[in-house]
Amino acid sequence: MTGHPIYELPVWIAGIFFLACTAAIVSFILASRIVKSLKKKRMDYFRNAYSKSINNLIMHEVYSSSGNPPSAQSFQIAELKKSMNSSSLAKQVMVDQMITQRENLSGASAKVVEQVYELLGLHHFSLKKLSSLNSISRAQGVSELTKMHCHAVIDEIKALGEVGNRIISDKALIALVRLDEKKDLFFLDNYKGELSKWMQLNIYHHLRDVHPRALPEFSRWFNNSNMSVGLFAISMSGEFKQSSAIPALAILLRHTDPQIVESAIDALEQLEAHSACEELLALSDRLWSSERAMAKLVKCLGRIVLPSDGFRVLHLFLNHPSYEVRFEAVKAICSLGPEARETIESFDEANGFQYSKILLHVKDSLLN
Amino acid sequence: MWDSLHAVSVVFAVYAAAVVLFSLVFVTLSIIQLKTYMQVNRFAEYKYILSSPLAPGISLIAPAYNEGLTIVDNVKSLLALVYNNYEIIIVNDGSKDDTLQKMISAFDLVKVNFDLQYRVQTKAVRQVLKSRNKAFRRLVVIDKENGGKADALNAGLNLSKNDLVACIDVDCVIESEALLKMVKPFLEDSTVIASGGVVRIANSCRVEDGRLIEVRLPESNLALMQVMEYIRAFLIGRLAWTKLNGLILISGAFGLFKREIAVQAGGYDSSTVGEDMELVVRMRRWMYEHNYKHRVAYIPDPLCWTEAPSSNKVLGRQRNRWTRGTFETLYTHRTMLFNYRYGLIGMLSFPYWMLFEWLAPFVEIAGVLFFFVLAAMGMINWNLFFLILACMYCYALFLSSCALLAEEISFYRYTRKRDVVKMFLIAMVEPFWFHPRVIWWAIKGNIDQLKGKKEWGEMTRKGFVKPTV
Repeated sequence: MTGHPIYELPVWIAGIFFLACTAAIVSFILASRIVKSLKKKRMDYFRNAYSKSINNLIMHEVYSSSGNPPSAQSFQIAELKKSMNSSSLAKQVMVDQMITQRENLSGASAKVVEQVYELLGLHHFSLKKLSSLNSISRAQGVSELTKMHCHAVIDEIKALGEVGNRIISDKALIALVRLDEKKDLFFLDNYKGELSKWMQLNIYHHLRDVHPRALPEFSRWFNNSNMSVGLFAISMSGEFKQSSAIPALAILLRHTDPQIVESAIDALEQLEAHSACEELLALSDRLWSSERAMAKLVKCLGRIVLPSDGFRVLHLFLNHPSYEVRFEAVKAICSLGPEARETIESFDEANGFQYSKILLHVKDSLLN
Repeated sequence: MWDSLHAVSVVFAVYAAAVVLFSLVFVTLSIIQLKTYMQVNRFAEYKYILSSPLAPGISLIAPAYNEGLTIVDNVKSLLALVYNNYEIIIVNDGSKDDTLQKMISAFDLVKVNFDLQYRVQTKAVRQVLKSRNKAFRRLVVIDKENGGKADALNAGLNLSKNDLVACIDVDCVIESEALLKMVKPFLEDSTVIASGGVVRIANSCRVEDGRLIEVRLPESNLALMQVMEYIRAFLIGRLAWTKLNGLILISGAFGLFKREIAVQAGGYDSSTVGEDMELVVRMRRWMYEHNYKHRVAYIPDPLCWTEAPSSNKVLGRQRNRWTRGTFETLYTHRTMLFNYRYGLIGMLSFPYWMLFEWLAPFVEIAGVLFFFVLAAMGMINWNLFFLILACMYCYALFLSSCALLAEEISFYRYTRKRDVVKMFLIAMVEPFWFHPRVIWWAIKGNIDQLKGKKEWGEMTRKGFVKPTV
């Protein structure tokens, strides 16, 4: 209320600070718009200039019966190199276009794109990014080299797998899965930290194109000290139908960690491991109080049990306090065939029709 | 007398300084969080989620009440989302119009024998319907007695069987890759229990078949003000709270939750008009009380576009409801306030919401009244007064420009140069033109709360801009 300078000075400072920051931000935004629009124009120009040349180069290589004369190809390559000159933006546009081409092609055509990428020296451009101080640039380099299947750079990428920056190390590990022809997933042996579902999903994506015989035995990681690696290995053994893992999975059913046990049940279900039926049944006492695990167990048993034996095994779960478990039990029994269906209907009748609604639900073709 | 007036003015000054200080911290945190998000996700291959058996299933729950005009288009747009393992649960919440009939004929729906369990209590479900056409196999419709939005969402929770549930407003435009982006935090971190996405304003944007074709700034000034307000709230406020793991509000228009935890926590509270905030608070409270480590994630990508009220009347009703919803949530969970048992939520988020969100309108009004008292008594130092006024105005401009900066360095959806100029002009006018109305609506909301008002208030919409033929 008094006009003492002690009140005014901080207000002046704050006001000037906010005003200056606002002016700086607005100027930055406007400048950024101008830069972005200029960059876009240049990129469009490069894109138009290169797309035809790249397509010509690839089409000639793929479809000419006797192949393009080496001199013609060299000329085209030299022309493209000349037009890129030393412009990083031009090179980046070219790399992006080649990656798009590579992702849309397969077989011999894809190989040609990879060759052209190397002939244009663009792999050096991507490789240079690996030593950049900027983590995004390094990750981009890894991504480009991986997408263009540059197997020669595995060692450089391996080294990046151990750097502290999570963005780069994760990107490098995924790249190794893609580039390493042995597909032995060696990095899982010493993987520190949680192997997130996101990483697992990325690894799985690259493994699913590999011939099943070339895949490693996932059971070797079942007891890995890193639980996330163990869980990943268990789920992969199921996904890739590695029947050899059944005995090890059956042993895991005795594990103290419920996550491991549930994961093992899922894998055994995927493997339709009839041989593990007794071990699974023996679990029911231990897991009785866990609704989630019991529902999984019943689902698994429904898949692997012999139809003739199904009702005897599964009817125990019809009295479970959890609705989910009872529902899975009815569903599993119904899936065993008409005989089992008749048996459960009689059982329902004898028990005061307490399963009628579930039976109606299970039998409704639109719900299954 | 002089001493007490001085003390009151010091309280106001301290409050204002605290608001400014919090904002500065939030701006810093949100820029860091935004940068990290952009870096981490720059090379993310979202399409891998599509083909992976490791991706969780999602149930989209969309309550519909008297949406007959647009429901078929809305459902078609949801059916076009890019995700592999998802189902759409439309809950017809006792509509009085032809919402249900339109869906039945458009999607060839028939009654099914769904054995629905009421894990969360709701009004009676009359029937569950599914399509005979395999093209619409993802669609399930619940027809139930009217019980409000929260009740309808609970019915959807009861029916859902997937691990994750996305609760959405049926009339929003959801970006086609929204589910892929929203599910990623759950894949990256197993402790994530919910994730929210940025809601943007679609007035004047071009929408075709439920898909956003062109982003444009709204023509109406009122909607423009809300664009600025939304960018500030979503890109600054919520991102900063995410960085601190203190987020307690995920917009009801689009949020993804772990179903089991939402159900265990009791589902949506049908007695509140702020059911979106209340659910997040209750889920977090439940996690704290059971000693589970958890996180609420937030995606700064603009994933959901909604039509903002373009009339004062409708906007007033919306803000009135938001105020009542905030109060109800804070009051229901008042035991969390300054309670260390609830970690950062109890010690920071809740006090912040109480002091700087709910209480702020009262403080502003009290400040204005106090100013008039001092002016009447001739006790105003006008130099200092205008200096403070100018400083606070510069602060408001700074905050809005930071939000514009965040938008510029991240998603850059308003691409025209004149958009920036327009937005900045709006930021200049907003403190005098829009902010006083927001304060008034908030005060009115509190008065209505005291009167025991529980209604939502009718929200009339104009509809999106359709392409010209």
